[in-house]
Amino acid sequence: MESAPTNRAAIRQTAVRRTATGQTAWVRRWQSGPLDRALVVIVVLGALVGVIELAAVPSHPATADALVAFCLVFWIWLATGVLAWWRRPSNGTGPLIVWGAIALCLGGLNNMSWPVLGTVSALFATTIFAVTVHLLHAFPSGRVQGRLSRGVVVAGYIVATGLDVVGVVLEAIGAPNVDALQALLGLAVMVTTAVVLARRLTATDRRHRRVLLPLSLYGIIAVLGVVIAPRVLAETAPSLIGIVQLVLLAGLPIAFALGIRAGAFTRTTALEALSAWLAVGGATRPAVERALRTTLGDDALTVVYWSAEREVFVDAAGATVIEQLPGRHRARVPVRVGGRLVGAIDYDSRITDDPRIVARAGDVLAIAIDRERLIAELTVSNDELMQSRRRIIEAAYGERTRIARDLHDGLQVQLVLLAIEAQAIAGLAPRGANVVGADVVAAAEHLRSGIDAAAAELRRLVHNVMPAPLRERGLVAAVEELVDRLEVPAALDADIDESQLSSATVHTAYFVVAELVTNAVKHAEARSVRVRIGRSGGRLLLVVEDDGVGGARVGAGAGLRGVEDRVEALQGAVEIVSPRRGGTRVGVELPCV
Amino acid sequence: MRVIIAEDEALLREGLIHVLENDGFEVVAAVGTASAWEEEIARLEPALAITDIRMPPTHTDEGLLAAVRMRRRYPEMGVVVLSQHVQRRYATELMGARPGGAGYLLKQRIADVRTFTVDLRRVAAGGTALDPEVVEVMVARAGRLDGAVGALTPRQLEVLALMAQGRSNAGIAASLVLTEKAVVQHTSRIYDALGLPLDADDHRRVLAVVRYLDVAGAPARPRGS
Repeated sequence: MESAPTNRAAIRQTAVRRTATGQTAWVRRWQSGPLDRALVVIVVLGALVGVIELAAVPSHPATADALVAFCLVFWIWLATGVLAWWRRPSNGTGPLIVWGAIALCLGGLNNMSWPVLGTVSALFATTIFAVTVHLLHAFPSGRVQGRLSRGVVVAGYIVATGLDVVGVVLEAIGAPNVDALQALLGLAVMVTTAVVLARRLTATDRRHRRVLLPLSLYGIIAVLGVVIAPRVLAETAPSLIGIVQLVLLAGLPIAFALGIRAGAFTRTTALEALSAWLAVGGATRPAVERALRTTLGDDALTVVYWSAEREVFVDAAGATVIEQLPGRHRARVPVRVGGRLVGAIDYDSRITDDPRIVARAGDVLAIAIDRERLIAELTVSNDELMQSRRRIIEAAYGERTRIARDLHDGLQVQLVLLAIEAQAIAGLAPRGANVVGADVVAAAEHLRSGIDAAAAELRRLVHNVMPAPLRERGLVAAVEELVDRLEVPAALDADIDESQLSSATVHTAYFVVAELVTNAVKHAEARSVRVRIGRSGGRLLLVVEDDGVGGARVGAGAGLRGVEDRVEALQGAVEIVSPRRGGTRVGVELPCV
Repeated sequence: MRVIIAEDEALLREGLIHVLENDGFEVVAAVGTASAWEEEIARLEPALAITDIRMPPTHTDEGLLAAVRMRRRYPEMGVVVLSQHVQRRYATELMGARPGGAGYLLKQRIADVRTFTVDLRRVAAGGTALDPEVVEVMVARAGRLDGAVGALTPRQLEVLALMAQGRSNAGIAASLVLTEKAVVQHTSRIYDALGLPLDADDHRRVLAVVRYLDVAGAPARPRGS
């Protein structure tokens, strides 16, 4: 007998240790919290009270049906209340339903023939109706919102418990009872409640309507049924009144449970669980938001971070959060560390109506939110760095284009004109007339061929700076030309639509391929080269393969380092496979835009 | 001979006009854009039309595209494309499927006036003039990729290159200091080696050689006839 619990504890310990993410650990730690123990005590006491009531059935044959019915409805309410309390410790609904269960239990005690119990029971005879009204108005946040609702709930308690007390006193002094007045005012309270619920249902959006529908709809039926039943059944079957009312009341927790299934009451955790989670560490960005969503049961909750530099709230990616007008149900609670604003929590005020609960959660998580704020700042500066690298590389391509154009429009044209002039001089000299003339002709033609050689050199230079086909026809035409002029057999496979490639991508792709094929011929002693250009979704794929000596690696020369720099500036990727004596295969991936 | 020129660089345009007029050509129009060139051709119907490749407005390949269009529209007219840079793709695009009447030369060739004007007259007469540099690239590439070209002797490669440039047997003989008979022997051996059908027509011979060189290394496609 001893060993079983010990084993279980051991297993539980292992489970806690084994969790890598930390989430299970804090859920488990929470499970042995004080609230847990209190709820267990409530359940045990409730079960005991019910059993005592049931035990009284044989000695009370006249009220046996009522005793059993009260006991069952009591248990239903108690079970639902405890469940709601456990799922949402910070929400008032759970305690409210448990309170309703207690009121039900007390109200039903008059079915036992103990004098003192009869008086106590009389004080609580109609309290359950007031609790029902309270519950319906408070759902789902657990707090009564709006002046009308508050008034109706207070009126409900006055009409029910207040007039019950008055009735007990009047009965004690032998005065006439106030049952008729109570019934009339009760009708007013119930009808008003039905109207409020109906209005809420029609005014809300779809998601919330799904949550509200079961309880509100049933609530309308129940509050109307509870007040109509006595009037309809008073003549025909007065004994049924109590049963009908009990059945209607029993249905409320069931409707509530359906609301839970629709998402109104997802499992949440107490604030201390958040503290425990913080101690686990290693929390990443979505974790704080996720933890808060779980804790407050609000799927739409978001965490924003304060950028002191820009004086705006930003999201995790560093993007400015557009200030939304505080929608009717959106609310924001600032989060501070030592008085310094670090962020804010945006939440749905229908689900968590008390800003203090959100603020407390924010206090617990303030350090984590501050850390996430710093990460967001780093993300932004990293993005800025990447953009600046890209701008630098684009500027470099722009410079190359400009230099090539200047040489093309200026020097190349001038060299053609100079060569024409030299040739013209040769043409002017009277051919073969004398030795001087022949010398001039030879010298002028020599000059012309010298200028032609310089022009050829310039053509190569211009081509290396920015090849004409790249500008005129694009990547594939330029690479084709590159491959055409390679000193070893080279194959090109390229079948892509270039129209959507950014100019930075086109230029980078060209110069990367040019560097790689040059490496293949010059350093890898390749006997053949193969270039492939393709596209996969938004990525441009380049592969350059050779059958050379292999063993290529970044850092061995400037070549591959330059390739990596160019590619990384566009946030692309490079993969080098180059076993010794096994050839080299370099794959490059670039974003198309 | 009536000639129309398109060249956006004013100095070079003037230089070209000067060279041509000195050699007896009649420059009937000289313009700065490809579209103006096309309009003048339609209006004046010259024997020869010369254009730069890179011109306004895009400064890319509008001259080449216009040349291809004009060659298709005026089959009797010679079209010569000038450029700072030559490449295989442009050569084959300009030649198209129709033999003769086309030239593709580096601008620098203008200065070698004698050769240049001979090339222009040959194109105007329905012949071909491909720049030695682009032919060199094509022959070297084919030599690496195509076994038959790779197996030719150096002398045969020289003859092949001159054939691709559009030279006649007499022209080849003159530049290699050979007899015309020797050139004929070389050409027929080259034809045998490449499996090309013998053709008496010089223009079709150039086209066949250029297409053969162009598709070298691409075994899936049928070779030029």
